[in-house]
Amino acid sequence: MNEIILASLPWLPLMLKGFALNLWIGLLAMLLACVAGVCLGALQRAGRPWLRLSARLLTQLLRNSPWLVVMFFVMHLLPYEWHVAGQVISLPAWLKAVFALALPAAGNASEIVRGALQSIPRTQWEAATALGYSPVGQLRHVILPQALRLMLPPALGLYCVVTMSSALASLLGVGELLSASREILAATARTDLLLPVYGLVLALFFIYIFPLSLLARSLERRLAHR
Amino acid sequence: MVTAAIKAWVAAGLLAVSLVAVADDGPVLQRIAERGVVNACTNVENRPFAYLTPSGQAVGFNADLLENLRQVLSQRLGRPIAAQTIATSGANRVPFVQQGKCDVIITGFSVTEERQRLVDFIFPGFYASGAVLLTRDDQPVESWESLRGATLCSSQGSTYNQSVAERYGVNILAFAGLTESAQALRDRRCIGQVMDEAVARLRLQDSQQWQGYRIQLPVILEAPWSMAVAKGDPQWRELLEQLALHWRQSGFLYDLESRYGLPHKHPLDPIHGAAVVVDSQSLPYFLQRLSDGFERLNSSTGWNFPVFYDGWTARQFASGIVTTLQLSAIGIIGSCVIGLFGALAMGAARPLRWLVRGYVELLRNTPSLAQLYFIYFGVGALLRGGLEGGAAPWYANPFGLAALCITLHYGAFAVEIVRTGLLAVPASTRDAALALGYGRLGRLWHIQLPLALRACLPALGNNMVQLIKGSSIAYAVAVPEVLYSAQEIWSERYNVVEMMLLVLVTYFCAMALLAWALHRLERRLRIPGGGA
Repeated sequence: MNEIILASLPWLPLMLKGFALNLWIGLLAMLLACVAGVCLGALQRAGRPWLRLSARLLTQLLRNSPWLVVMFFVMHLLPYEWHVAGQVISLPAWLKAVFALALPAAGNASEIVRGALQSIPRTQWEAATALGYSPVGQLRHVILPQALRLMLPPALGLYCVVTMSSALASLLGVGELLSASREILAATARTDLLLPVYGLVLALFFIYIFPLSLLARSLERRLAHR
Repeated sequence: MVTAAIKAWVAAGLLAVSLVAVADDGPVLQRIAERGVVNACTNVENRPFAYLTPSGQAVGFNADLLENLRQVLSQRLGRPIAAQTIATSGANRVPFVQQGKCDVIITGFSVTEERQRLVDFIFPGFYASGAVLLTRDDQPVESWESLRGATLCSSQGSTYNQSVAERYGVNILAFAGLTESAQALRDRRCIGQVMDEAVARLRLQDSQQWQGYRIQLPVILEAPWSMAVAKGDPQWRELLEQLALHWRQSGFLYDLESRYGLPHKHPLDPIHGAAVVVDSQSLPYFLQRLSDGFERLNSSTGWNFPVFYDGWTARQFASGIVTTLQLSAIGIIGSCVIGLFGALAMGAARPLRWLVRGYVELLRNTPSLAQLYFIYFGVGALLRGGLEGGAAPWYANPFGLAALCITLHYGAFAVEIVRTGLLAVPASTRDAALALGYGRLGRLWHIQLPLALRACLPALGNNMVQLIKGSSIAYAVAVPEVLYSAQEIWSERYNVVEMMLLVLVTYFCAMALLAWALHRLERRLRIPGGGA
C-alpha cells in the first residue's frame, strides 16, 4: 500500500493540473451556455411565430444530442485555426471541448430560461406593458430579476453536469484529468496503479461537485417553501 | 474541393458561427519559420517510443527523433526553433496533419495503402514493427489461424485491429490505452493481447509483473513505421526524406534502438497492401437496390456512406445500433428497478437508508466515464484474486460491465425521482387506504405506487432519454455500440462527417421511439379528472 502511494505521489501535480483544466473547461462552457441559453430561451417566448419555432427547434436539437457525439462532431470537424482578415485565431483542443460542451448545455439552459419565464405570472408582463416598457425592457427590468431566482438552482445543477462531462474530452485527446491518468498509467506501465489512480479521479470530482449539488438542492427547497 | 467546403460548412453551421474555414495550404517550412515551432503529432501512451515524465514532458524514441529534427530545422532556418509534441490517437492524427495542426506525424504509424492516399509517407522508415501475441505462459496457442473465434485485447486506433480481425476471424476488444488492455489481459478478459513486437518485448524485460507471460507465434503484419506529412509540399517532404536517410545511414537510429533496448530493425520497403474491397454481395436485399445510388453519390460528390453499399460495413453499423438498443433497454429496465427499491429503502431503517443515500450521492456527483473506468478495472482486479484457471469469468464481458455501470448511474437518479413521486401521494390518501383495510404492502402496491408512477413518469421518462444518450460512454471500454462501430468505420474510410450524421440520426430515432412509447403509456395511465 505504502509502495503504491510512493509510486503515484510524483504524478499528483500532473493530475491536479489536469483537474484544473476540467474546471476551466466547465466554467467557460457554462458561461457560453448561459449567454446562448438566455438568448434562445427568450426567443422561445418571442412574438413572431417563426422566431419562436426556430428557437424551439434549435433548443430541442441541442438538448437531445448525446454529449459525447457532439464532442466528436466538434473535435473532428472544426479546424484547429481560423483565418479572419489576416488574423490567425488558433483553436486548441481544450477550447474545442468548451464549444462542444457549451452546445448541448445551451439547449438545456434555454429550457431552464423558458421554464422560468413561463412561471412568471402573466399579470407581470401586462403591468410592465402598462408602464410603457419595450419588450426588451420588460425582460430586462421586470421579468428577468424575478425569473433569475427561479433559474439559479437548475442552472447550478447544469453547471455540475457540464463540469462532469468535461471528462468526456479525454476520449479526444484533451489533456484533462482522465487523460492525464491514462498517460500516467501508460508511463508507469503498472496495472496495480489502475485502481488508486481512477479512484483519485472519482474522489477529486466528488469533492468539488457534491457541495455544489447540495447547495443547488437547498436553494431549490427554499424556493419551494416560499 | 466542394465537398470539403460543404463539410466545413456543416461544422460551422453546427456552431452557428458564420466564419468560413480556410485550409492552410502554405509551405510548411515557411509556417515553421513564422511560428518558430515545429509541431509533431505523436501518441504519448506508447512506451518506450513516447511517454510522459511526471513533469508532463514527452520523452522516448520518437521524442529524440523530434529533437534531432528540431536541431536540423534550427540550422536550416538560421534561428532557434522550438519543438512541440501534440498528443494524438489513431483517430485524429491524420486530420491534424491535414489541417496543419502538426507539421509531421512521428509515431508508430505504419504504412498502408489507404493511408498513402491521405498523407505522404517519408521513406526510408525510422523503425519497423509487426504484431505479436502476448499471452500467459500456460495458454496453448498453435497458430494465428487456430485463434478463430477467440477474443484478443488491443488498443484503439491500432493498425492491427481490423487486419487481425478480418484475416483470422478473432474478436478484438480495443481499449483506450495499452495499460487498460494489459489489465484486461491480466483479468482474463481475453486470451492474449495483440501489440507491437517492440513494446511487448520491452514489457517482458522491464517489469516483474509480467513474469508468467510470453510472446507466442511469429510476427505478423510487419510494416515500416514512417514519418508522414500532409500532401502538397514537396520541399518539406524532400527535407524529411534526406533526414530519414541520414538517420539510417549515420547509425543514429541504431544507437537509439540500443539505448531503448529495442530489437534492431532493417528499413522495409513500402508495401502495397490490398485496397479496400467493396463487398456488395452480402448486403441485405433492400439495400442492394439502393447501393448503386450511394456509390454514385460517393464518386460524384464525395459523400461517402459505405453503410449503404458495403456489406461488411453495413453489418458492423447495424450490430452497433442493436448493441446500443440492448444497452439502453437493459439500462432503462434496471434503472427503474433500482429506482423503485432504492426509493423504498430510503424510507427504511437507518443503516440501509444511509447506504442508499451514499450510493445515490456518489454516483450522481462523479462523471459516469470515470465510474465506468473504475468499475471496469476495479471489479476485474478485485474478483481476479479468487479465480484461477483458463475459462473467462462472467465479468470478462465489457458489455455486461458497461450495462451495469450505466444502470447504476441512471438508477441513482431514478431513486430520487421515484422518492419524490412517492412523497407526492397525499397523506390523506394513504390514511384513507388504511381506513379501507389495506395492509402496508397492499396499500403500497394498490394505492401509493400507481399514483406515484403517474406523478413521476415525466421525470422518469426524461431520465430514460438521458440514459439512451449516456449509453455512448460504453465506447470507452470497447463495447461495439453505435459510436464505436462508426469510429471503426471512419478510421478505415475517413468519412467522419457522414458517420457522425448517421450516429446522430440513430440516437434521435431511438429517443423518438422512447418518447412515443412514453406518450402512449402516459395517455393510457391518465386518470380522468386526476389532474395534469
